[in-house]
Amino acid sequence: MNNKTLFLSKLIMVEQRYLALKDTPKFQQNVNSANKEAYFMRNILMSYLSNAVLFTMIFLLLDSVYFEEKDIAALASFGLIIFLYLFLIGIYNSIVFLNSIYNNNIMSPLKSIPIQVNVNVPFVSWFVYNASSYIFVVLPSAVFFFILTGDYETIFLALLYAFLVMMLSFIISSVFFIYSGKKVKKHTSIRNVIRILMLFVFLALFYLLLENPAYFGYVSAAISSLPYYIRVFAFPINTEYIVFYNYQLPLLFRILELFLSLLFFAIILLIYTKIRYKIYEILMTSEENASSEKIFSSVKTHGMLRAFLNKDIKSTFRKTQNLSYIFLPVLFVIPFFFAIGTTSGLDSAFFSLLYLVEFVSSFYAIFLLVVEGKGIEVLNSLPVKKSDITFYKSIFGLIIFSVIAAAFVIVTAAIAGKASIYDLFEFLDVTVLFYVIISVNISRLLSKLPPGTSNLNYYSFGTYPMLFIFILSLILLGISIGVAIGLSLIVFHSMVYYVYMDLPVNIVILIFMMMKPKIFKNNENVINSL
Amino acid sequence: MNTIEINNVYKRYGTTIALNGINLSISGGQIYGVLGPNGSGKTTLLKIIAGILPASSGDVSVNDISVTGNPDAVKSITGYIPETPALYESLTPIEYFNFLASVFKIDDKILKERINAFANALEIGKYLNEFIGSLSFGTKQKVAIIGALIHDPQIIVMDEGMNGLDPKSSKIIKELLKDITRSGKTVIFSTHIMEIAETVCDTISILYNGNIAGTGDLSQLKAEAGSSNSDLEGIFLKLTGDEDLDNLLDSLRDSIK
Repeated sequence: MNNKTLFLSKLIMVEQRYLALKDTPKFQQNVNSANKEAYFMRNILMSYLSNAVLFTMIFLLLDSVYFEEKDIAALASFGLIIFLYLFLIGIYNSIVFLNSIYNNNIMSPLKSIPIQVNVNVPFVSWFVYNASSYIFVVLPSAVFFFILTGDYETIFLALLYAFLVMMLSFIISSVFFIYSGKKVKKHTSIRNVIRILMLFVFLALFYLLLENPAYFGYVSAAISSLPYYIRVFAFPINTEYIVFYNYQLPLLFRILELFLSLLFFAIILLIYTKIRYKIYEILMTSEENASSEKIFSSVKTHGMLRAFLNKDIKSTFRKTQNLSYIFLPVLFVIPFFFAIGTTSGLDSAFFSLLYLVEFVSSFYAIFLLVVEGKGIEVLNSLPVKKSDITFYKSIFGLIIFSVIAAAFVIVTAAIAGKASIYDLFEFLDVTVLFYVIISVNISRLLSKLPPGTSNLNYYSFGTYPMLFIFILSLILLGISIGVAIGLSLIVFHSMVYYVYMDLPVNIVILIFMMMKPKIFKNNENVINSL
Repeated sequence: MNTIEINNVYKRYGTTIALNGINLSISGGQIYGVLGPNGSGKTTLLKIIAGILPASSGDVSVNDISVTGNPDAVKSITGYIPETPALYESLTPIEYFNFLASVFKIDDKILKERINAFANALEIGKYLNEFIGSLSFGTKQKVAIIGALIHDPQIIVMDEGMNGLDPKSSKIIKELLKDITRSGKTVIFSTHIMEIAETVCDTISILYNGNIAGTGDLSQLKAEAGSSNSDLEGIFLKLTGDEDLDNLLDSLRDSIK
């Protein structure tokens, strides 16, 4: 990698941050023209370090349980889960990155300067300045394993496979992007939905292949029951076997597996070299991807809610990239969903729905605002209150969530082999809960937007919008369930009725929110607050 | 008649002062030009008037409605055209106008008449059903202009609104703006192009480093600049302290020899 490639990679990341942060008061207060680049580089470095430290700490804590017990098998099984997590984070993160570069035409201006832009710039920019920080999620497992077994190769292989997993996730996102990005405006909403659903069904099946029936405790058993060649050759399912169980093997096999790993590396590199030109071309010509397709709509006005829903539905469903955000959170929930029946004493189906609420309300809150893009300037110029925007966006989120939750409830009932009024009760409960949480999330995000914002992307809400919203959702979810359990204990002297108590609790919270709109704290009138 | 009062408006971005205590009174029924070099604070001032950006201190009132106190009331009678068209790229112009009309509660029949009239005048009829993202810059600018005028606003705030327009459309917009002001409405207009300002604007304020360097019609500005024979460009350069361009040009010529 030469200096020019690294410089351009850095430039792209700096530009991306600039577009997101230029309107923020903090940026405007602290930066003058002389230190802009230093400011953004500091911002990028701090994000990177925070990610690395945060992930190391979290996974150090999670891994320490198995380390304390010296449970090598559990540590290895958990290691596989971590690699899968890394894989999903990689897909999500690279899709966000590619979308951001594409939608903001960040690379296309490079065409006009007389330099040869290396085709690896998008990947290098993503990996060096962002994604490599996620690799720290596998380090605690590898280090603990090394301490327990003395096998230093584990650390080397864990890092190698983490890199391979990240590269694979970038390749998958790129294929997805190539398939959807260039022709983004040439497809109708329905065709887009079908295409996205097909891709996600494929990803979900892939996920299931890895997960089912191996919900955490069963992973080892499931993997060891697989034929030897699958355990060793099927990447990334082989991470548990090659990275962690390598130490048990004779030297010859260890050398062979090392060669095998390098072979995987070569294959992934080869696939990458095949697709890098395509993704590079799309990103370099993003502003020219026009379509002459016509959509015939009649002149017709609607009420505000329907007008906003129409706008958001069209903005979402006409762009395949935006659609991907709608389905992404579901992928994160599938592992929990397929744990149904494996946890005793708890209503695992209900808890799967709560996971769904947690993930979807966090993702959608950000996505439904980011989908505005440059349109935020239009909204700023219109006489529309922030609480109204929160309401319209929340309703859109609720509609999509209801469809997903209904599908989950139906599948759950099918797995259980019976449907009851309880299922309907669960469904109603989580939809009310979802609405409450997404409303608060959107409202909070809107309040973080600097006045006069002219463009929205994922960094517009601060460095860690996802973490911030995820924790906020978790707190709200905890309050709802905690109060429900408390009421169940008080009224029935047993916590088993908490699901029944949760719906009234959520309805009360909802009514309270509607009667006390200031709970949104989204400064209706931003100007007044300044 | 609409009046806009700008009282002691400051805008600070960190340590940078974009507007340094601006005081202006803009009476209705005129095209008011805001001129100034890059970075002089034109866009900031226009955004504050349109209720999009809050002032750090001071206030703007439109028809005695405080922009600080009631921005929605001001926005409902204002049409804002940004420097670069900010639009929903996944919508078609028709869908975009439908959305705006729904927000402003415009009757379908009136909306149809307005869209037809604007689309014919600006020759964008054939693009009405194409995605905005696929349109050229100039066509997007026309869509943004129609969008800002669709609710028949009392105040029109145009930030470099003629950017990217072809000569015919530019001429039509200029005439349209003049017609609009005859009915008592106000147009506030920023531009770099002196010819446009000279031919279109009734009153001009020259903004320089966040301060008002001069205000008035052409003759008043000439008097203020003390150069009765100058055109607007000459007045502009004199009031912004950049009139001595010869040295700059000489130095530039030397460097590119």
